[in-house]
Amino acid sequence: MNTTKTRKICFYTLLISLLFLALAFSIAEVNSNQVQRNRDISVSAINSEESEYSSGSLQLSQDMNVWYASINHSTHVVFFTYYSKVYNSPIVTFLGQHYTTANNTEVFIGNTMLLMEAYNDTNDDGVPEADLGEIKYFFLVNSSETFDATPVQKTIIENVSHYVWGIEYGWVDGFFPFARVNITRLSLTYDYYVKGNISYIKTGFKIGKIADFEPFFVQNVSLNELGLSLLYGTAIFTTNPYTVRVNGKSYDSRTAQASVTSTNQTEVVIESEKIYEFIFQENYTLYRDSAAENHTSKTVASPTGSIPPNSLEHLSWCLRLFSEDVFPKMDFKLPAIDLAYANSSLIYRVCYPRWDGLSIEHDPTYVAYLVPVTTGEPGSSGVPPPTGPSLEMIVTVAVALAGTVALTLALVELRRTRRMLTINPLITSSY
Amino acid sequence: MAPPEITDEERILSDLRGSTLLVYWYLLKKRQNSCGVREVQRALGFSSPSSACYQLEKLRELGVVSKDPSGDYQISKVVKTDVINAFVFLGGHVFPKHLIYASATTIMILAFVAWFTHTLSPIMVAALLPGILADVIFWYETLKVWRHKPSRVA
Repeated sequence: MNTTKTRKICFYTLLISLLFLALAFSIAEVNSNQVQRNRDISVSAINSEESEYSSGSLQLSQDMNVWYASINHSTHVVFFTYYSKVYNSPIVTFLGQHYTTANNTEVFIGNTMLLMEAYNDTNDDGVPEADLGEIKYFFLVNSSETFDATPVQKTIIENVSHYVWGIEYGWVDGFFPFARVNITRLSLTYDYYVKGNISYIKTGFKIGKIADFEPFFVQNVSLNELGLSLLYGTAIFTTNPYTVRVNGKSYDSRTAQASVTSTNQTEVVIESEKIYEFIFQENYTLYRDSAAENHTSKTVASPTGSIPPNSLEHLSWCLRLFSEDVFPKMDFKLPAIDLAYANSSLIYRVCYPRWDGLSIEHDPTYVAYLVPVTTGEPGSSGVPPPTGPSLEMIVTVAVALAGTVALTLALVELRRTRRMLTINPLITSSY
Repeated sequence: MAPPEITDEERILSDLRGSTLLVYWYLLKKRQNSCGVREVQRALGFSSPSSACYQLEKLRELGVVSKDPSGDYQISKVVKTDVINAFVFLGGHVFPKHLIYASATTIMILAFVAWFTHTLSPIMVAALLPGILADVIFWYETLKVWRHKPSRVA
Protein backbone atom coordinates (compact mmCIF):
# COMPACT_ATOMS: atom_id res chain seq x y z
CA MET A 1 0.00 0.00 0.00
CA ASN A 2 1.45 3.34 -0.94
CA THR A 3 2.20 6.15 1.48
CA THR A 4 -0.58 8.43 0.27
CA LYS A 5 -3.26 5.83 0.97
CA THR A 6 -1.85 5.10 4.41
CA ARG A 7 -1.85 8.81 5.21
CA LYS A 8 -5.45 9.11 4.07
CA ILE A 9 -6.50 6.18 6.26
CA CYS A 10 -4.71 7.62 9.28
CA PHE A 11 -6.31 11.01 8.67
CA TYR A 12 -9.81 9.56 8.42
CA THR A 13 -9.23 7.41 11.52
CA LEU A 14 -8.19 10.41 13.56
CA LEU A 15 -11.12 12.39 12.19
CA ILE A 16 -13.58 9.64 13.20
CA SER A 17 -12.02 9.40 16.68
CA LEU A 18 -12.30 13.15 17.17
CA LEU A 19 -15.93 13.08 16.04
CA PHE A 20 -16.69 10.31 18.55
CA LEU A 21 -15.01 12.26 21.32
CA ALA A 22 -16.92 15.43 20.42
CA LEU A 23 -20.17 13.45 20.39
CA ALA A 24 -19.46 11.92 23.79
CA PHE A 25 -18.59 15.31 25.31
CA SER A 26 -21.82 16.76 23.89
CA ILE A 27 -23.90 13.95 25.38
CA ALA A 28 -22.16 14.36 28.75
CA GLU A 29 -22.74 18.12 28.67
CA VAL A 30 -26.44 17.79 27.77
CA ASN A 31 -26.89 15.21 30.52
CA SER A 32 -25.14 17.45 33.01
CA ASN A 33 -27.27 20.47 32.06
CA GLN A 34 -30.44 18.40 32.34
CA VAL A 35 -29.54 17.31 35.85
CA GLN A 36 -28.54 20.86 36.70
CA ARG A 37 -32.00 22.10 35.71
CA ASN A 38 -33.58 19.48 37.92
CA ARG A 39 -31.62 20.33 40.99
CA ASP A 40 -32.78 22.38 43.93
CA ILE A 41 -36.45 21.86 43.27
CA SER A 42 -38.76 21.08 46.12
CA VAL A 43 -39.97 17.56 45.73
CA SER A 44 -42.07 15.20 47.76
CA ALA A 45 -39.48 12.47 47.75
CA ILE A 46 -35.86 12.09 46.85
CA ASN A 47 -35.75 10.85 43.28
CA SER A 48 -32.43 9.36 44.00
CA GLU A 49 -32.51 6.77 41.26
CA GLU A 50 -33.44 9.11 38.48
CA SER A 51 -30.66 11.64 38.51
CA GLU A 52 -26.93 11.64 38.88
CA TYR A 53 -27.21 14.27 41.56
CA SER A 54 -29.89 16.48 43.02
CA SER A 55 -30.65 18.61 46.01
CA GLY A 56 -33.78 20.21 47.31
CA SER A 57 -36.31 20.42 50.06
CA LEU A 58 -38.87 18.07 51.51
CA GLN A 59 -41.66 19.45 53.65
CA LEU A 60 -42.14 17.46 56.83
CA SER A 61 -44.76 19.68 58.43
CA GLN A 62 -45.99 23.24 58.18
CA ASP A 63 -43.01 24.45 60.16
CA MET A 64 -40.31 21.96 59.40
CA ASN A 65 -38.45 21.01 56.24
CA VAL A 66 -35.59 18.81 55.29
CA TRP A 67 -32.90 19.94 52.93
CA TYR A 68 -31.13 17.11 51.15
CA ALA A 69 -28.33 16.41 48.72
CA SER A 70 -28.30 13.15 46.82
CA ILE A 71 -25.59 11.80 44.54
CA ASN A 72 -25.73 8.65 42.48
CA HIS A 73 -22.28 8.05 41.15
CA SER A 74 -20.83 4.60 41.82
CA THR A 75 -22.33 4.78 45.31
CA HIS A 76 -25.42 6.52 46.61
CA VAL A 77 -24.70 9.35 49.00
CA VAL A 78 -27.44 11.22 50.81
CA PHE A 79 -26.97 14.13 53.14
CA PHE A 80 -29.84 15.80 54.88
CA THR A 81 -30.58 18.28 57.58
CA TYR A 82 -33.64 19.86 59.13
CA TYR A 83 -34.46 23.51 58.66
CA SER A 84 -37.39 25.77 59.34
CA LYS A 85 -38.59 28.95 57.73
CA VAL A 86 -40.77 29.77 60.73
CA TYR A 87 -38.50 29.04 63.67
CA ASN A 88 -34.78 28.81 64.13
CA SER A 89 -33.43 25.81 62.28
CA PRO A 90 -32.43 22.86 64.43
CA ILE A 91 -28.86 21.63 64.10
CA VAL A 92 -29.31 18.02 63.05
CA THR A 93 -27.45 16.63 60.09
CA PHE A 94 -26.93 13.17 58.71
CA LEU A 95 -24.61 11.82 56.05
CA GLY A 96 -25.26 8.33 54.68
CA GLN A 97 -23.67 6.25 51.97
CA HIS A 98 -25.00 3.08 50.40
CA TYR A 99 -23.14 0.87 47.95
CA THR A 100 -22.60 -2.69 46.87
CA THR A 101 -19.06 -3.98 46.86
CA ALA A 102 -17.56 -6.06 44.06
CA ASN A 103 -18.28 -9.23 46.06
CA ASN A 104 -21.97 -8.29 46.33
CA THR A 105 -21.98 -7.13 49.92
CA GLU A 106 -24.43 -4.33 50.47
CA VAL A 107 -23.11 -1.66 52.75
CA PHE A 108 -24.78 1.26 54.41
CA ILE A 109 -22.76 3.59 56.60
CA GLY A 110 -24.01 6.81 58.06
CA ASN A 111 -22.78 9.19 60.67
CA THR A 112 -24.00 12.19 62.54
CA MET A 113 -22.52 14.58 65.02
CA LEU A 114 -24.12 13.87 68.36
CA LEU A 115 -22.56 16.30 70.71
CA MET A 116 -19.81 18.83 71.33
CA GLU A 117 -17.78 18.65 74.48
CA ALA A 118 -15.35 20.99 76.13
CA TYR A 119 -12.55 19.21 77.93
CA ASN A 120 -9.66 20.04 80.13
CA ASP A 121 -6.72 17.98 79.01
CA THR A 122 -5.16 17.46 82.44
CA ASN A 123 -2.82 14.64 81.43
CA ASP A 124 -1.80 16.41 78.24
CA ASP A 125 -2.54 13.51 75.94
CA GLY A 126 -4.78 15.62 73.73
CA VAL A 127 -7.96 13.60 74.22
CA PRO A 128 -10.84 13.75 76.73
CA GLU A 129 -10.98 10.94 79.26
CA ALA A 130 -14.34 10.62 80.93
CA ASP A 131 -12.99 8.48 83.75
CA LEU A 132 -10.49 11.19 84.68
CA GLY A 133 -13.19 13.80 84.73
CA GLU A 134 -11.63 15.67 81.84
CA ILE A 135 -14.92 16.32 80.07
CA LYS A 136 -15.91 19.57 81.72
CA TYR A 137 -18.99 20.45 79.77
CA PHE A 138 -21.02 19.08 76.98
CA PHE A 139 -22.44 21.52 74.58
CA LEU A 140 -25.77 21.17 72.85
CA VAL A 141 -25.92 23.06 69.59
CA ASN A 142 -29.56 23.85 69.46
CA SER A 143 -30.65 25.98 66.55
CA SER A 144 -29.55 28.74 64.22
CA GLU A 145 -31.04 32.01 63.12
CA THR A 146 -30.06 31.55 59.50
CA PHE A 147 -29.66 28.51 57.33
CA ASP A 148 -28.04 28.53 53.91
CA ALA A 149 -27.56 25.54 51.68
CA THR A 150 -25.27 25.26 48.68
CA PRO A 151 -26.86 22.81 46.25
CA VAL A 152 -24.82 20.02 44.75
CA GLN A 153 -22.52 21.26 42.04
CA LYS A 154 -20.59 19.01 39.75
CA THR A 155 -17.13 19.95 38.62
CA ILE A 156 -14.56 17.86 36.82
CA ILE A 157 -11.03 18.11 38.11
CA GLU A 158 -8.35 16.10 36.35
CA ASN A 159 -11.00 13.94 34.72
CA VAL A 160 -12.59 13.12 38.07
CA SER A 161 -16.15 14.22 38.82
CA HIS A 162 -16.42 16.12 42.08
CA TYR A 163 -19.82 16.70 43.67
CA VAL A 164 -19.67 19.54 46.13
CA TRP A 165 -22.35 20.82 48.48
CA GLY A 166 -22.62 22.40 51.86
CA ILE A 167 -24.68 24.09 54.51
CA GLU A 168 -24.02 26.98 56.80
CA TYR A 169 -25.78 27.91 60.00
CA GLY A 170 -25.45 31.50 61.07
CA TRP A 171 -25.58 32.67 64.68
CA VAL A 172 -26.02 29.32 66.33
CA ASP A 173 -27.36 29.19 69.85
CA GLY A 174 -26.45 26.39 72.15
CA PHE A 175 -26.39 25.40 75.74
CA PHE A 176 -23.76 24.35 78.16
CA PRO A 177 -25.34 22.98 81.32
CA PHE A 178 -24.46 26.27 82.99
CA ALA A 179 -24.66 28.83 80.23
CA ARG A 180 -26.26 29.93 77.03
CA VAL A 181 -23.87 30.60 74.21
CA ASN A 182 -23.89 31.86 70.67
CA ILE A 183 -21.53 30.76 67.96
CA THR A 184 -20.99 33.01 65.00
CA ARG A 185 -21.40 30.24 62.48
CA LEU A 186 -21.21 26.53 61.85
CA SER A 187 -20.61 25.27 58.34
CA LEU A 188 -20.25 21.86 56.80
CA THR A 189 -19.00 21.30 53.26
CA TYR A 190 -18.71 18.03 51.38
CA ASP A 191 -16.77 16.96 48.33
CA TYR A 192 -17.67 13.53 47.00
CA TYR A 193 -15.56 11.92 44.29
CA VAL A 194 -14.54 8.51 43.04
CA LYS A 195 -11.06 7.49 41.96
CA GLY A 196 -10.73 3.98 40.60
CA ASN A 197 -12.70 1.76 42.90
CA ILE A 198 -12.51 4.02 45.92
CA SER A 199 -14.95 6.77 46.79
CA TYR A 200 -14.08 9.69 49.00
CA ILE A 201 -16.26 12.09 50.94
CA LYS A 202 -14.03 14.89 52.03
CA THR A 203 -15.75 16.98 54.62
CA GLY A 204 -14.98 20.49 55.73
CA PHE A 205 -15.99 21.44 59.25
CA LYS A 206 -15.86 25.05 60.31
CA ILE A 207 -17.06 26.30 63.64
CA GLY A 208 -17.00 29.99 64.44
CA LYS A 209 -15.89 31.40 67.73
CA ILE A 210 -18.15 31.62 70.74
CA ALA A 211 -19.39 35.17 70.52
CA ASP A 212 -21.84 35.36 73.36
CA PHE A 213 -21.52 33.63 76.67
CA GLU A 214 -24.23 34.01 79.32
CA PRO A 215 -23.64 31.95 82.47
CA PHE A 216 -26.83 31.08 84.31
CA PHE A 217 -25.55 30.60 87.82
CA VAL A 218 -21.80 30.29 87.98
CA GLN A 219 -19.87 33.39 87.06
CA ASN A 220 -16.27 32.21 87.02
CA VAL A 221 -16.50 30.00 84.00
CA SER A 222 -14.05 30.26 81.16
CA LEU A 223 -13.41 28.28 78.02
CA ASN A 224 -9.76 29.26 77.99
CA GLU A 225 -7.35 26.35 77.99
CA LEU A 226 -10.16 23.96 77.11
CA GLY A 227 -10.21 21.67 74.15
CA LEU A 228 -13.18 20.83 71.96
CA SER A 229 -14.27 17.37 70.99
CA LEU A 230 -16.96 16.45 68.50
CA LEU A 231 -18.77 13.25 69.29
CA TYR A 232 -19.99 11.25 66.32
CA GLY A 233 -22.22 8.21 66.17
CA THR A 234 -22.29 5.85 63.23
CA ALA A 235 -24.95 3.59 61.79
CA ILE A 236 -23.43 0.61 59.99
CA PHE A 237 -25.42 -2.07 58.20
CA THR A 238 -24.04 -4.73 55.90
CA THR A 239 -25.48 -7.87 54.35
CA ASN A 240 -22.49 -9.84 55.67
CA PRO A 241 -21.24 -9.57 59.26
CA TYR A 242 -18.82 -6.70 59.69
CA THR A 243 -16.24 -5.76 62.25
CA VAL A 244 -15.06 -2.31 63.20
CA ARG A 245 -11.30 -2.26 63.56
CA VAL A 246 -9.42 0.39 65.41
CA ASN A 247 -5.64 0.28 64.96
CA GLY A 248 -6.04 -3.22 63.52
CA LYS A 249 -8.02 -4.63 66.46
CA SER A 250 -11.74 -5.35 66.69
CA TYR A 251 -13.67 -2.64 68.45
CA ASP A 252 -17.26 -2.17 69.56
CA SER A 253 -18.32 0.93 71.45
CA ARG A 254 -21.12 -1.02 73.12
CA THR A 255 -18.71 -3.42 74.82
CA ALA A 256 -15.42 -1.51 74.96
CA GLN A 257 -13.93 -1.08 78.42
CA ALA A 258 -11.19 1.51 77.91
CA SER A 259 -12.45 5.07 78.33
CA VAL A 260 -10.66 6.14 75.14
CA THR A 261 -8.80 4.30 72.40
CA SER A 262 -6.62 6.63 70.38
CA THR A 263 -6.96 5.73 66.77
CA ASN A 264 -4.68 6.16 63.82
CA GLN A 265 -6.69 3.80 61.67
CA THR A 266 -10.43 3.24 61.89
CA GLU A 267 -11.98 0.92 59.38
CA VAL A 268 -14.89 -1.41 58.75
CA VAL A 269 -13.91 -4.87 57.54
CA ILE A 270 -15.73 -7.94 56.36
CA GLU A 271 -13.73 -11.15 56.54
CA SER A 272 -10.41 -9.27 56.69
CA GLU A 273 -11.31 -7.11 53.73
CA LYS A 274 -11.62 -3.41 54.24
CA ILE A 275 -14.82 -1.86 52.94
CA TYR A 276 -14.76 1.51 54.63
CA GLU A 277 -12.29 3.78 56.32
CA PHE A 278 -12.39 6.94 58.37
CA ILE A 279 -9.48 9.23 57.72
CA PHE A 280 -9.03 12.16 60.03
CA GLN A 281 -6.50 14.65 58.81
CA GLU A 282 -4.06 15.34 61.58
CA ASN A 283 -3.94 19.10 61.38
CA TYR A 284 -6.66 21.59 62.04
CA THR A 285 -6.63 25.33 61.89
CA LEU A 286 -7.44 27.54 64.85
CA TYR A 287 -8.16 31.21 64.21
CA ARG A 288 -7.04 33.49 66.99
CA ASP A 289 -7.72 37.15 66.22
CA SER A 290 -7.66 36.38 62.49
CA ALA A 291 -4.27 34.71 62.81
CA ALA A 292 -4.31 31.09 61.71
CA GLU A 293 -2.60 28.53 63.91
CA ASN A 294 -2.09 24.92 62.93
CA HIS A 295 -2.52 22.29 65.60
CA THR A 296 -2.69 18.53 65.64
CA SER A 297 -6.06 16.93 66.11
CA LYS A 298 -6.61 13.57 67.75
CA THR A 299 -9.26 10.95 67.21
CA VAL A 300 -10.44 8.42 69.73
CA ALA A 301 -12.92 5.61 69.64
CA SER A 302 -15.12 5.80 72.69
CA PRO A 303 -17.31 3.40 74.62
CA THR A 304 -21.00 4.17 74.96
CA GLY A 305 -20.54 4.65 78.71
CA SER A 306 -18.21 7.61 78.20
CA ILE A 307 -21.00 9.86 77.00
CA PRO A 308 -22.45 12.33 79.49
CA PRO A 309 -25.77 10.86 80.60
CA ASN A 310 -27.51 14.23 80.68
CA SER A 311 -27.05 14.64 76.97
CA LEU A 312 -29.42 11.82 76.09
CA GLU A 313 -32.36 14.10 75.41
CA HIS A 314 -30.64 15.61 72.45
CA LEU A 315 -30.45 12.27 70.73
CA SER A 316 -34.17 11.74 70.74
CA TRP A 317 -34.23 13.26 67.27
CA CYS A 318 -35.38 10.57 64.99
CA LEU A 319 -34.31 10.82 61.40
CA ARG A 320 -37.64 9.94 59.98
CA LEU A 321 -36.49 10.07 56.39
CA PHE A 322 -34.72 6.81 56.84
CA SER A 323 -36.76 4.60 54.63
CA GLU A 324 -36.80 3.03 51.26
CA ASP A 325 -37.65 6.45 49.85
CA VAL A 326 -34.22 7.69 50.74
CA PHE A 327 -32.23 4.69 49.68
CA PRO A 328 -34.54 2.86 47.26
CA LYS A 329 -31.71 0.79 45.85
CA MET A 330 -31.32 -1.10 49.07
CA ASP A 331 -32.34 -4.72 48.83
CA PHE A 332 -32.20 -5.34 52.53
CA LYS A 333 -34.53 -3.74 55.01
CA LEU A 334 -32.96 -1.33 57.39
CA PRO A 335 -34.11 -1.63 60.94
CA ALA A 336 -35.58 1.54 62.40
CA ILE A 337 -32.67 3.83 62.95
CA ASP A 338 -32.80 6.52 65.54
CA LEU A 339 -29.04 6.94 65.79
CA ALA A 340 -29.26 6.45 69.51
CA TYR A 341 -25.66 5.97 70.44
CA ALA A 342 -26.55 2.95 72.55
CA ASN A 343 -26.99 1.10 69.24
CA SER A 344 -23.87 2.45 67.58
CA SER A 345 -20.96 0.04 67.21
CA LEU A 346 -18.60 2.91 66.60
CA ILE A 347 -18.68 6.13 68.53
CA TYR A 348 -15.73 8.36 68.01
CA ARG A 349 -14.53 11.74 69.07
CA VAL A 350 -12.59 14.12 66.91
CA CYS A 351 -10.58 16.16 69.38
CA TYR A 352 -9.10 19.62 69.08
CA PRO A 353 -6.83 20.01 72.12
CA ARG A 354 -6.42 23.77 71.58
CA TRP A 355 -9.73 25.53 71.24
CA ASP A 356 -10.35 28.28 73.81
CA GLY A 357 -13.78 28.91 72.29
CA LEU A 358 -12.25 30.08 69.03
CA SER A 359 -12.95 29.32 65.39
CA ILE A 360 -11.76 25.96 64.03
CA GLU A 361 -11.49 24.41 60.58
CA HIS A 362 -10.91 20.73 59.96
CA ASP A 363 -11.44 18.32 57.05
CA PRO A 364 -11.80 14.59 57.72
CA THR A 365 -12.48 12.14 54.87
CA TYR A 366 -14.71 9.10 54.61
CA VAL A 367 -13.50 6.42 52.24
CA ALA A 368 -15.60 3.61 50.75
CA TYR A 369 -13.98 0.68 48.97
CA LEU A 370 -16.12 -0.59 46.11
CA VAL A 371 -13.64 -3.39 45.66
CA PRO A 372 -12.70 -4.49 49.19
CA VAL A 373 -8.99 -4.56 49.93
CA THR A 374 -7.19 -6.88 52.27
CA THR A 375 -6.26 -4.98 55.38
CA GLY A 376 -2.57 -4.37 55.75
CA GLU A 377 -2.00 -4.64 52.02
CA PRO A 378 0.58 -2.17 50.77
CA GLY A 379 -1.26 0.78 49.32
CA SER A 380 -4.53 -0.22 50.94
CA SER A 381 -4.84 3.01 52.84
CA GLY A 382 -7.58 5.26 51.60
CA VAL A 383 -5.47 8.37 51.97
CA PRO A 384 -6.32 10.37 48.87
CA PRO A 385 -3.65 9.83 46.25
CA PRO A 386 -1.30 12.68 45.48
CA THR A 387 -2.43 15.11 42.86
CA GLY A 388 -1.40 14.40 39.29
CA PRO A 389 -2.87 12.27 36.53
CA SER A 390 -5.01 9.58 38.12
CA LEU A 391 -4.62 5.93 37.18
CA GLU A 392 -8.11 6.11 35.71
CA MET A 393 -7.10 8.97 33.41
CA ILE A 394 -3.83 7.32 32.38
CA VAL A 395 -5.59 4.04 31.56
CA THR A 396 -8.34 5.88 29.66
CA VAL A 397 -5.83 7.77 27.53
CA ALA A 398 -3.85 4.56 26.95
CA VAL A 399 -7.00 2.71 25.89
CA ALA A 400 -8.00 5.57 23.58
CA LEU A 401 -4.54 5.55 21.95
CA ALA A 402 -4.45 1.77 21.68
CA GLY A 403 -7.95 1.82 20.20
CA THR A 404 -6.97 4.45 17.63
CA VAL A 405 -3.89 2.46 16.59
CA ALA A 406 -6.02 -0.70 16.41
CA LEU A 407 -8.61 1.10 14.30
CA THR A 408 -5.93 2.34 11.90
CA LEU A 409 -4.52 -1.18 11.62
CA ALA A 410 -8.03 -2.59 11.15
CA LEU A 411 -8.76 -0.20 8.28
CA VAL A 412 -5.42 -1.00 6.62
CA GLU A 413 -6.09 -4.72 7.03
CA LEU A 414 -9.64 -4.30 5.74
CA ARG A 415 -8.35 -2.90 2.46
CA ARG A 416 -5.57 -5.43 2.23
CA THR A 417 -7.89 -8.40 2.77
CA ARG A 418 -10.40 -7.10 0.26
CA ARG A 419 -7.63 -6.71 -2.34
CA MET A 420 -6.22 -10.13 -1.52
CA LEU A 421 -9.58 -11.88 -1.85
CA THR A 422 -10.26 -10.08 -5.15
CA ILE A 423 -6.92 -10.87 -6.77
CA ASN A 424 -6.30 -14.29 -5.35
CA PRO A 425 -9.44 -16.08 -4.23
CA LEU A 426 -8.37 -18.57 -1.61
CA ILE A 427 -10.74 -21.29 -2.46
CA THR A 428 -10.16 -23.04 -5.67
CA SER A 429 -12.68 -24.44 -8.02
CA SER A 430 -10.23 -25.64 -10.63
CA TYR A 431 -9.40 -29.22 -11.35
CA MET B 1 12.45 -3.52 -26.13
CA ALA B 2 12.62 -6.98 -24.54
CA PRO B 3 10.05 -7.74 -21.80
CA PRO B 4 11.45 -7.62 -18.26
CA GLU B 5 12.79 -10.92 -17.02
CA ILE B 6 10.55 -12.70 -14.53
CA THR B 7 12.36 -13.62 -11.31
CA ASP B 8 11.93 -17.00 -9.57
CA GLU B 9 10.02 -15.34 -6.74
CA GLU B 10 7.57 -13.73 -9.15
CA ARG B 11 7.10 -17.00 -11.01
CA ILE B 12 6.38 -18.81 -7.74
CA LEU B 13 3.86 -16.18 -6.69
CA SER B 14 2.11 -16.28 -10.05
CA ASP B 15 1.97 -20.09 -10.18
CA LEU B 16 1.06 -20.57 -6.53
CA ARG B 17 -2.72 -20.40 -6.86
CA GLY B 18 -5.74 -22.63 -7.21
CA SER B 19 -5.13 -26.30 -6.54
CA THR B 20 -1.37 -25.77 -6.41
CA LEU B 21 -1.84 -23.34 -3.56
CA LEU B 22 -4.19 -25.77 -1.88
CA VAL B 23 -1.58 -28.55 -1.92
CA TYR B 24 1.12 -26.17 -0.78
CA TRP B 25 -1.23 -25.06 2.03
CA TYR B 26 -1.71 -28.65 3.13
CA LEU B 27 2.05 -29.25 3.21
CA LEU B 28 2.55 -26.05 5.18
CA LYS B 29 0.17 -27.36 7.82
CA LYS B 30 2.14 -30.59 7.99
CA ARG B 31 5.37 -28.58 7.98
CA GLN B 32 7.85 -30.97 9.61
CA ASN B 33 6.20 -34.14 8.38
CA SER B 34 6.46 -35.36 4.83
CA CYS B 35 3.43 -36.81 3.10
CA GLY B 36 2.73 -39.02 0.17
CA VAL B 37 0.65 -38.60 -2.97
CA ARG B 38 -2.28 -40.69 -1.76
CA GLU B 39 -2.47 -38.80 1.53
CA VAL B 40 -2.70 -35.51 -0.36
CA GLN B 41 -5.31 -36.95 -2.71
CA ARG B 42 -7.51 -38.18 0.16
CA ALA B 43 -7.05 -35.10 2.33
CA LEU B 44 -7.85 -32.61 -0.39
CA GLY B 45 -10.42 -34.58 -2.34
CA PHE B 46 -8.56 -34.95 -5.65
CA SER B 47 -10.34 -37.28 -8.07
CA SER B 48 -7.21 -39.39 -8.65
CA PRO B 49 -3.67 -39.81 -7.31
CA SER B 50 -2.27 -38.50 -10.59
CA SER B 51 -3.97 -35.14 -10.04
CA ALA B 52 -2.35 -34.83 -6.62
CA CYS B 53 0.96 -36.01 -8.05
CA TYR B 54 0.75 -33.37 -10.79
CA GLN B 55 0.34 -30.58 -8.26
CA LEU B 56 3.12 -31.93 -6.04
CA GLU B 57 5.51 -32.15 -8.94
CA LYS B 58 4.56 -28.64 -9.98
CA LEU B 59 5.47 -27.43 -6.51
CA ARG B 60 8.74 -29.34 -6.68
CA GLU B 61 9.56 -27.68 -10.00
CA LEU B 62 8.88 -24.32 -8.38
CA GLY B 63 11.47 -25.25 -5.76
CA VAL B 64 9.22 -24.91 -2.76
CA VAL B 65 8.82 -28.63 -2.09
CA SER B 66 11.38 -31.42 -2.00
CA LYS B 67 10.95 -35.13 -2.57
CA ASP B 68 12.66 -37.67 -0.39
CA PRO B 69 13.94 -41.11 -1.59
CA SER B 70 10.75 -42.79 -0.35
CA GLY B 71 8.66 -40.62 -2.67
CA ASP B 72 7.16 -38.42 0.02
CA TYR B 73 7.06 -34.64 -0.31
CA GLN B 74 8.06 -32.00 2.23
CA ILE B 75 8.13 -28.19 2.36
CA SER B 76 11.58 -26.88 1.48
CA LYS B 77 10.80 -23.20 1.16
CA VAL B 78 8.14 -21.06 2.78
CA VAL B 79 6.74 -18.51 0.36
CA LYS B 80 5.03 -15.51 1.93
CA THR B 81 2.15 -14.79 -0.38
CA ASP B 82 -0.67 -12.45 0.64
CA VAL B 83 -2.89 -15.43 1.30
CA ILE B 84 -0.39 -17.27 3.47
CA ASN B 85 0.45 -14.06 5.31
CA ALA B 86 -3.19 -13.75 6.31
CA PHE B 87 -2.92 -16.91 8.41
CA VAL B 88 -0.85 -18.18 11.28
CA PHE B 89 0.35 -21.80 11.16
CA LEU B 90 0.80 -23.23 14.62
CA GLY B 91 1.27 -26.87 15.55
CA GLY B 92 -0.74 -28.28 12.67
CA HIS B 93 -3.48 -25.68 13.15
CA VAL B 94 -4.22 -22.66 11.02
CA PHE B 95 -6.09 -19.55 12.04
CA PRO B 96 -6.45 -16.07 10.60
CA LYS B 97 -3.92 -13.53 11.76
CA HIS B 98 -6.82 -11.18 12.47
CA LEU B 99 -7.94 -13.52 15.23
CA ILE B 100 -4.95 -12.40 17.30
CA TYR B 101 -5.77 -8.72 16.80
CA ALA B 102 -9.47 -9.32 17.46
CA SER B 103 -8.79 -11.27 20.66
CA ALA B 104 -6.30 -8.72 21.96
CA THR B 105 -8.70 -5.84 21.31
CA THR B 106 -11.60 -7.71 22.90
CA ILE B 107 -9.54 -8.51 26.00
CA MET B 108 -8.47 -4.87 26.26
CA ILE B 109 -12.08 -3.65 26.07
CA LEU B 110 -13.45 -6.24 28.50
CA ALA B 111 -10.65 -5.66 30.99
CA PHE B 112 -11.21 -1.91 30.86
CA VAL B 113 -14.98 -2.25 31.35
CA ALA B 114 -14.53 -4.80 34.15
CA TRP B 115 -12.00 -2.68 35.98
CA PHE B 116 -13.93 0.57 35.75
CA THR B 117 -17.42 -0.88 35.75
CA HIS B 118 -18.44 1.23 38.74
CA THR B 119 -17.05 4.45 37.37
CA LEU B 120 -17.66 4.25 33.66
CA SER B 121 -18.18 7.80 32.40
CA PRO B 122 -19.12 9.10 28.92
CA ILE B 123 -15.50 10.13 28.36
CA MET B 124 -14.33 6.61 29.12
CA VAL B 125 -16.92 5.19 26.75
CA ALA B 126 -15.71 7.64 24.10
CA ALA B 127 -12.14 6.48 24.71
CA LEU B 128 -13.32 2.92 24.11
CA LEU B 129 -15.12 3.67 20.83
CA PRO B 130 -12.10 3.45 18.46
CA GLY B 131 -11.17 0.15 20.10
CA ILE B 132 -14.72 -1.19 19.80
CA LEU B 133 -14.87 -0.19 16.13
CA ALA B 134 -11.48 -1.81 15.49
CA ASP B 135 -12.65 -4.91 17.32
CA VAL B 136 -15.75 -5.21 15.15
CA ILE B 137 -13.64 -4.85 12.00
CA PHE B 138 -11.10 -7.43 13.21
CA TRP B 139 -13.78 -9.99 14.03
CA TYR B 140 -15.47 -9.36 10.69
CA GLU B 141 -12.15 -9.84 8.89
CA THR B 142 -11.43 -12.97 10.91
CA LEU B 143 -14.73 -14.54 9.89
CA LYS B 144 -14.39 -13.46 6.28
CA VAL B 145 -10.86 -14.83 5.91
CA TRP B 146 -11.77 -18.00 7.82
CA ARG B 147 -14.72 -18.68 5.55
CA HIS B 148 -12.40 -18.42 2.54
CA LYS B 149 -9.74 -20.65 4.04
CA PRO B 150 -8.49 -23.24 1.51
CA SER B 151 -9.84 -26.62 2.52
CA ARG B 152 -10.71 -29.09 -0.21
CA VAL B 153 -10.83 -29.13 -3.96
CA ALA B 154 -14.31 -28.09 -5.02
